[in-house]
Amino acid sequence: MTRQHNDNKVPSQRLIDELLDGEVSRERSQELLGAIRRDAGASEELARTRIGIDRLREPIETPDLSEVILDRVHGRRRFLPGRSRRMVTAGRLAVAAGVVGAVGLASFVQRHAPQVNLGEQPATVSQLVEATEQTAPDRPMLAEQAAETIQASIASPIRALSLSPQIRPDADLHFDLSLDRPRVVAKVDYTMVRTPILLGVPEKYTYPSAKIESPFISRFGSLLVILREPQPTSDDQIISDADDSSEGSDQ
Amino acid sequence: MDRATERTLIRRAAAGDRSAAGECIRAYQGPLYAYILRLSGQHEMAEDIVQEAFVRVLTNLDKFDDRYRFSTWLYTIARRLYINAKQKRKPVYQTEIVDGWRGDGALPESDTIGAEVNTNARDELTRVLQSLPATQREVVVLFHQCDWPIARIALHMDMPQGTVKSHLHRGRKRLRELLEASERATSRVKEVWG
Repeated sequence: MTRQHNDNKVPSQRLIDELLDGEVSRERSQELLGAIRRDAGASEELARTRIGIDRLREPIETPDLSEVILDRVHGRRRFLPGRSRRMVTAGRLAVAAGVVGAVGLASFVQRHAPQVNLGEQPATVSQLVEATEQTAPDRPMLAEQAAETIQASIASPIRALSLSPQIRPDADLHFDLSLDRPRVVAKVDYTMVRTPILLGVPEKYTYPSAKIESPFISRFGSLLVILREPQPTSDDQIISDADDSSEGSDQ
Repeated sequence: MDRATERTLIRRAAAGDRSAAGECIRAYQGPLYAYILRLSGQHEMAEDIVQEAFVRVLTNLDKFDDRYRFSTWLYTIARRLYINAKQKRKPVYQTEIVDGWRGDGALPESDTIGAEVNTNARDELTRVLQSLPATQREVVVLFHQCDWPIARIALHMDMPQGTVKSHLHRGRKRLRELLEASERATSRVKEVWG
């Protein structure tokens, strides 16, 4: 009632605008219409405004431009017949499926492939080196003990580590440490091969650590660690280097 | 056209389906043509702009973000084209009656008179609209002819909703006044010439 009373004082143009803007509730719309009806001038204004609006809404004859437009578009980017479109779609789907498959496979391998964790125990290598310095009858036993120690430090899924003395044509004695799995995913933190002892590996043999560069490396074939018996003239220095290294890696 | 249908059509058109592109054109060419015609007052310009807007949109469908409405994109491009075209040439009103009148003295048939009255009324509206300031004209056309809500017009014209409303109110009032003045002038002519 108060609103209606106030509406009587509001200029008719404002009432008309509020009504025609269409942003009012149905109740408010009825109130506005009531207020306008009570004012003859406002009623006429509204009627005349509506005539103008109705003329704006009259349909306009539009030429059909579709074929002209389609021909122009076809000149820039070709429309394809249904069969070609299906082939393109199938091709795209195949590529998408390939990408998804490859990502899935990589993810699966990463999750399930075995990882070698040889542990950060360079001390075991030192023991092995010490074993090589013993007299000939003690070497096999000490070397075997060192191998057991190393084996114990290796986490699943490596189950066995065999140690076998090998004679190389250009070196005195080598111990080949072979892991039992044909394919091994090795981690970068393979500290054993980083000990200075391995610097003595003859150049003709591939240095194992050179292949271990990524956290995700598939190695085809067994992981072979070659240790060479130190030369008698530099024994002390090598052992000393090994000890220094183990201290360093502990830090 | 609902949004789901629109999306499907656009996806098909983007994949190279000519019939889907044709459906898109036929769905929007009428309202777009009317919008540009009301802004420009020229059929030829409206036709050129509608064509060019569709060609640009349809050749760039792969860039279309379907979170937005296709019509909003189309109208935005058409509006830019219109503004550019307007800057190049001044509007000229097409008055078919004046252009076609030869004054040979022959009385037209009654159907012809009826058609002429309708044409005259449309022509008068076009002329009256051209008398409105450009912004008022566009807001009035978008609101009352295209049925766009104020919020959408504000986005399209990049102005606050309050400003849109004030342009709408002024434009509507001016449109009414101009139509009244035009009617008065017509009545006077009829009185003088019987």
